[in-house]
Amino acid sequence: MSARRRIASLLVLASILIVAVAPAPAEAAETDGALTLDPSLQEIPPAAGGARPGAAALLLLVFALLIVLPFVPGLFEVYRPRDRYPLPIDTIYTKDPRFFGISARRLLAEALDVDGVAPGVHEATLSRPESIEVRDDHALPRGTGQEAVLVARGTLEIGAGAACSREVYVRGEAKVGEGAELRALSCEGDVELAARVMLRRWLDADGNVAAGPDCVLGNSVAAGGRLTLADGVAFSRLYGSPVVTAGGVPGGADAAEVEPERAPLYGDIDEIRTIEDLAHVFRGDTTVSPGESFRRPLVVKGDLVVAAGASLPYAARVYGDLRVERGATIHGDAFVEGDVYLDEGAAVRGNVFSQARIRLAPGARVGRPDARKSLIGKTGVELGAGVVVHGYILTDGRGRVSCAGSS
Amino acid sequence: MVVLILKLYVVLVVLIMGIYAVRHYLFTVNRLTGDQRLFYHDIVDDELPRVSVLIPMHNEERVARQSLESLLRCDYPRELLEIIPIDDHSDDGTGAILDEMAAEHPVIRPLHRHEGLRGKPAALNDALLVAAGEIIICFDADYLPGQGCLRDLSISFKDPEVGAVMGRVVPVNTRSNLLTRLLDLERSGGYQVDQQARHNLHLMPQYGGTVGGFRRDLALSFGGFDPRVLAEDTDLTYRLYIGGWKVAYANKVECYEEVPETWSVRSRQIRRWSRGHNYTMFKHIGALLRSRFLSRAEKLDGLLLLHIYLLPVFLFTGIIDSVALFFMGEMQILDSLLVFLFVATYSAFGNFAPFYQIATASLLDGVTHRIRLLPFLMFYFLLNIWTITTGFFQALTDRFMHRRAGWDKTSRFRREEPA
Repeated sequence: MSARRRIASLLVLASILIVAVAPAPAEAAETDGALTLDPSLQEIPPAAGGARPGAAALLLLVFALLIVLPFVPGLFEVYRPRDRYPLPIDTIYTKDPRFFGISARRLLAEALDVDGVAPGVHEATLSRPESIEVRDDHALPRGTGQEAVLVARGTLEIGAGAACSREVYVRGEAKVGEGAELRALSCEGDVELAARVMLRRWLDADGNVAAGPDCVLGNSVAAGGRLTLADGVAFSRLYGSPVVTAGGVPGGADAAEVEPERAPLYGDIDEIRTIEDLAHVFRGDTTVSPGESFRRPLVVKGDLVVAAGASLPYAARVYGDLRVERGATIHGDAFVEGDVYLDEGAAVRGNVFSQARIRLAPGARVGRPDARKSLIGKTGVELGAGVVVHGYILTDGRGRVSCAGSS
Repeated sequence: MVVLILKLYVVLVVLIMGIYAVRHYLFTVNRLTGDQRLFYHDIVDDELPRVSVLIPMHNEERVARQSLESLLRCDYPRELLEIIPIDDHSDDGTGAILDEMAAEHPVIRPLHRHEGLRGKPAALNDALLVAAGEIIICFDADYLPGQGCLRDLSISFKDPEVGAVMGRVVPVNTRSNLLTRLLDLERSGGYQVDQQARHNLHLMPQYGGTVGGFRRDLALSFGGFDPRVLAEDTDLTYRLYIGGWKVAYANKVECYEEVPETWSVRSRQIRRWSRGHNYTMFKHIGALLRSRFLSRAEKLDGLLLLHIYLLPVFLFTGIIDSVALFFMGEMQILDSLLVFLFVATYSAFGNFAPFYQIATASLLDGVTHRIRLLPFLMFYFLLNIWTITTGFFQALTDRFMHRRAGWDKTSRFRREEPA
């Protein structure tokens, strides 16, 4: 018997059972003194031909059907499941800023012996069947379109205004001309993007990457080396060792590079009863002045200002906004619910994590050269001139380099 | 006088149900249209804390090896990791499996317990004393963590205010029968909507005792886990919040678990949870209300969460109450249009609030066909009303008779590896 028939039979059976078992209203009224019909209903005259018992049966049948009806779609799902598998979990997922490039290269290596084939167009399956054009040193002329996946075993030069609608793999160095459009680029050397290059998805390079003015950097750009961004660049995710913006790093001594002398964290604690034993808790707005010393992290329920020249040795958890003024340094992480402003030359040596916007003024720094850190601003990240971030930058909102507007 | 009390109790139950219905809607609407806070797993940081992974195991020979193999595939730096499976009074082959795997993998350091109290809190207490990690991550023996799970959980402790972290639990054996599919729906609603909404709204996400972690020093400073408490996770959650720490919820840190495949096993499990949770309610309600670290919203949410296993008791006794009033001919309780509108509105919408929440969770998960099973949850809820009510009375006896609850291990059903 098919599932549909079984379900239909069940429905009919259930309806019959309910009708058969349920007492007629009149009987119920006789056997149970508490159960009486609404007087208004009692006043309804019987239909001609004595049809009232039939009407009651019909009502009961409708009632039974209404009871059963919500279960009908579920019965189909039980007997003919369309959605019975566990929710999919990507159990091999690990956080890697260079994930796109690494997985794309692995896909290509599995699909085609790039070194073994002759230059020309080959058919292979990456995530789907693709035409793969293999070249040695190659130049894509100005204004042309590239429909197939392109693999350059040497260097690659993409002319101004050219468009690559599929992925591009480069063994050597890659230069992308002004106004060119790329879907995705994986490169084992350095990459140079001229002005106004439009990247649709991702770019990954083992070497350095330099993005010219007003480039749009798609979902992700990751560099094994230095990632340099010119004014007007728009981005979502960036990764580099380090990520720097045009304008140069201001000269002079960099307080952020100097490890402060500090007492061992929690070294003086005998007993932990509340968070106040492990952190300084401030219930309102707070300003940290130069010379103030803290032996524990800060939890600030309002705004926090780290005044010019001041130094905070440990992490800060801030419920309002955070402002790190000129030349001030936070040596730990900063977790902030509001906006974050790092003024000129200010530094956070740990991670900066904001549920709102982050703005880094010229010369501001995040992270350390010896340890990758992250700058994450949910609704936006704005980088001024000469900013240095050692590691990873992410925003779900608007990421932009704004050197000209920086003061 | 008796009739008046019975009537007032009905009104009280309706009000309580109404409050929880509003709570369901608030969370559901937040997940559909509200601001979603980021979790910390996007942070890339080379400086990770030292982690000890604790897995209490009592007669877990069917699942122990697979669980440890999953943990060995994790990408956490080996020099910062130790895995401590706790052989808790096992009399099957669990201990031998652990020793065999420890011989192959030095990162596995089994702890054999054959003396003292049996049960998760006591096992964790012993393991805490030998664990070297500053962060403790816990899994149940049937869990299969993904490769990035340990890193994604432990990174949240960079925030100095985070005392514990909780990931998302996903049933793996959904194909087994209707019960496992209903439990899958329930879990989706609980994590995808309820926990995440509480994280978004700065309320009180809960540490669930598995796929989660906590700071070792905090647990030790609290004197370890109370072996009288069957819900050691809820107990820790409240001790942390009352002391000013937070629990972070990581919706994207997902881990497969095996859910009960028979109604009797599920009944025993939910009764144990009810008993433990309600015991915790008696223990912490005063301190929760007095805590100077919690906002009013947190206290309210904490109160509602603390009483969540009392709700079926209210409902059950409310039904008995209303049936009694019906046979006494005293159903005319409050004669007001406003009350009528309230009751009518609750009947039309409030009753379905948990169903909306679960449907929304399925929608967010991108799996919509399973929503067709929603009406069957009615039977599951009926089971819960009875088992949770009995669990409540057991907790009541535990609390006031100073009785120690015995640990009842959930049976395993594993036959196959997840796809």
